[in-house]
Amino acid sequence: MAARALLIALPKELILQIIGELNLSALLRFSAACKSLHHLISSSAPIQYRIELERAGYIDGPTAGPLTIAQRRARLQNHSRAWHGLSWALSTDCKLKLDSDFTHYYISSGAIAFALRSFPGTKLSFYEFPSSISRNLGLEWPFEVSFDFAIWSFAFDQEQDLLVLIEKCINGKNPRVHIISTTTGMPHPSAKVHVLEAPPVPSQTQSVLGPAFWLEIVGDTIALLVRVNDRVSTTRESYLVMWQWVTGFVRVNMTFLKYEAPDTFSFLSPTTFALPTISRRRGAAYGDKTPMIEIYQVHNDDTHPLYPLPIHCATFLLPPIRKNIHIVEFLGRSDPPPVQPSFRSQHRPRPFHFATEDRIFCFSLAHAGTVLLEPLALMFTHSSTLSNYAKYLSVDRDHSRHIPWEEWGPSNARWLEGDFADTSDYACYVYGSRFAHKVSSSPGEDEDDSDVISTPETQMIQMFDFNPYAVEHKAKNGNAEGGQGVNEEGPGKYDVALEITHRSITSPSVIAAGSLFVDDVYSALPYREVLKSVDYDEDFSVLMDEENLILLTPGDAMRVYSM
Amino acid sequence: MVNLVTSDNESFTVEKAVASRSVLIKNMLEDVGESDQPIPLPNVTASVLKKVLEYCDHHKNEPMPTSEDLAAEDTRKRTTDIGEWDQKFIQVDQEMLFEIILAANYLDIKPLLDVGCKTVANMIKGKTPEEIRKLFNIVNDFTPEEEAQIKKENEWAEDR
Repeated sequence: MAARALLIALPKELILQIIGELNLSALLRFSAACKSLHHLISSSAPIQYRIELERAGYIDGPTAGPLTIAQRRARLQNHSRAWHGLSWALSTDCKLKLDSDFTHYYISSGAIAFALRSFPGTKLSFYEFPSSISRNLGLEWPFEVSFDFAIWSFAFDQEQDLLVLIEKCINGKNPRVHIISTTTGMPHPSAKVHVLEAPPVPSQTQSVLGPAFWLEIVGDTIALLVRVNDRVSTTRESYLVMWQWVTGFVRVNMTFLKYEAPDTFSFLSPTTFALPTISRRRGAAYGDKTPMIEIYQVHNDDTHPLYPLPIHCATFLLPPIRKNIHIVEFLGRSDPPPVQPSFRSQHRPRPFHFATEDRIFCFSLAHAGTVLLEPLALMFTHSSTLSNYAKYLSVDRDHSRHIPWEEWGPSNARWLEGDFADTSDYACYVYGSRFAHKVSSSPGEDEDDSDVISTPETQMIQMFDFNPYAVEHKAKNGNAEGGQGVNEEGPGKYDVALEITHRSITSPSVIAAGSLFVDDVYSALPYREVLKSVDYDEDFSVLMDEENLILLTPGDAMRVYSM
Repeated sequence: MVNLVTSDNESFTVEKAVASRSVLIKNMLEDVGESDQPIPLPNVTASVLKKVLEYCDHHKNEPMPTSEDLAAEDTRKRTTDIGEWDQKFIQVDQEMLFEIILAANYLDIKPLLDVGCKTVANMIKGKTPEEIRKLFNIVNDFTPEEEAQIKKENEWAEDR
C-alpha cells in the first residue's frame, strides 16, 4: 500500500492548530518541508507576527486589544528597525520644571519621576515618555506630589498605581516605608498596612556618605537593600528585606556583615533573585577575591515565620581577581523587572511588550586602579543562563551549588573592559537585551594632538544588543557571505543610510592576566555593537527603556529619542 | 442512553454523559429533546468512533471546558504536556491519529483535538525538514536553489 501524505491532507485550520503548538525552530523547519506548508506559514499573518515577536524578544499584548494583527505587525517592524539602526522616529527636548536640584530619579514602565528637596519635605515630579508603540506623545504628569518628610529613596510602578517612599530617619532608627497611590498621593487603598517598618539603618562612624539604598518593585514584592557606605567597619550589618506589599508580610530578611554586603540585587524571576558579592574568605581555593553571583529563591509560603531566609539555589563563580586590586563596587543590573503577566498592561495597554523571561544581566566591576581613575570591567550574561542552571541544580541535588567560571562562563558571558565610568551611576542603562552608554571621542583622533584641543568632543551613544537574533553570524560551511554587515572585530562598518557604525562580535575575546584577573579570561557571548553620534551639547547620562533612549543632563533638561 | 450510527452503518449505544463530550452531539440532543432517534455521524467510521468513545468514556466525569477557559488558552503560553492516560490512548498508528483529529474536529471535542495536535507537534519537533518529509510522506517539491534559500532564511533560529 502506498503511504499517503495524511498530514498535509488535513484541512488548513487543523494544520495551523498543529503549527500553533510548535516552537520557533520546529516551525521554520516544518515550513521547509514542502511548498504548500511553506506557503501556508509565510502567508499567515498571525504566524509571521509570532515569528517576528520571538525574533525581537517580545510577547504579544492582550489579544482583546483594539489593534489588528496587521497593525501590530507594522508597529513591531518599525520598532525593531528603529532599535536595529538607532534611527529614532522622534526626538523630544524636555525642559524639566524643577525648582531645585533633584536628589533621586526613578524610571519605570514608560515614565520617570524626580524627587526634589522641598523644605522640610520632598516633592515628586513625574514625566511620561512618548511611545510610538501605543501612539502616545508623552507628557508631563498632570500633577506633582509633595510629602512633609525627606526621603532616602523611592520607586514607583504605574501598573499597580504604586509609589514607595523610604522616609529618611536618624541612623540607628527604623526607616518608614510608605505605600502610596501614584494617582492620589494618599495611602494605597489595597495595602493593609500603609507604613511598613524597615530594620534599623546601620549607624556608621567613618563615612561622610549616608547609607546606600537599592529599592525595587517586582509585582507584589517590594525589595529594599540598605548598605553602609562605610568601608572600614567590619561589624556593621547591612540588610536585604522584601515585603508582600498588600499584606505587609516580610518575605525575605537577610543581613550581611559589612564586607559581605552586596551593592545591588536583581530579580531573575518573580521569586528568585541574584546577589553579586565578592568572596573574601582567606585562603579559599579561588584566591582571595572571587566575584560571585549568588542565586536565592524566596519562600512562597507566606505563613513562614517572621524574618525568613531565602533558599540558596546556586553560586556562579567569576574569574578570580588579583590580590592587590581593590574592588570599589560590584553592581548587577537588569530591566525590566520580571513580573507575572497579571501585573502588566493594566495601566497603559500596549500591543506587545518585552518578554521579561530573558533579559541581559550587566555586572560591573569598578576597581581602584594605579591612578585615581577607576577602570571598569563589565560582564554580560543572559538571565536564562542563570535561571536554567538554578533550575537544574534544584533537581540534581548531588551537583555542587558552586558553579566554576570555566563550566558556565566562557560561552555564556562576555567581559568587556573600557571606559564605562558613566555606568556606575544609578541609571537604567540596561533594558531587555540591550545596554547603552555614552562615549566621547574627538573627531580628529588619528591626527596630531595639537589640532584636537580646540575641536569639540563628539558625544556618541554606544549600544550593545545581546539578542541572539540581532547578531549577524558568518555564513556557515563556506557558503557565500551574505554581505549584510557581517563583520567581526575590525573597526565596524559604517551604514550611510542609518548613519551608524555597527558590527557583530561572535568570536571570543580575552582579557589578559595581570591587570585585573589572575588568569587570562576568555568569553564569547555574541553581541552586536552600534555606535551613533548625537548632536547634543549638554553633558548627559544615558537611560533607557523599552522605546526610548533618554539623555539626562545634570541640570534641568532631558532629551528623549523615541524608537 | 444515546444511539450513534457511523458512516459504515454500525451503531453504538452509549451513556448520554459520554456522547455529550462532543459538543456537536450535545447540541443535537438539546435540539431534538428526549428522543430515541439514532444520531447519524456520516463523517466517522466505526473503528474511529470506537476509539473516540473510549476517550469520552474516560473523561466523562470531568467538567466541560467553558468558553472562558478556551479564551484563556489562547493568551496563555501553549504547553505540549499531555496527560498520562491521554498519552497512552493516543499511541496509535499515524492513519488512526489523523482520523482521530478529524473526528474530534467534526464532533467538536476540543480537549481531544488538542491532544491530537500536540501529539503531531511533538512528532515534528527536533526533526530536520528531510526527517519530517519521511515521517509524513511529504514530497519535496522545492528546487535545490529554493531549498538552499529557505535554509539560509531560517538559519537565525537554528540555535534555539
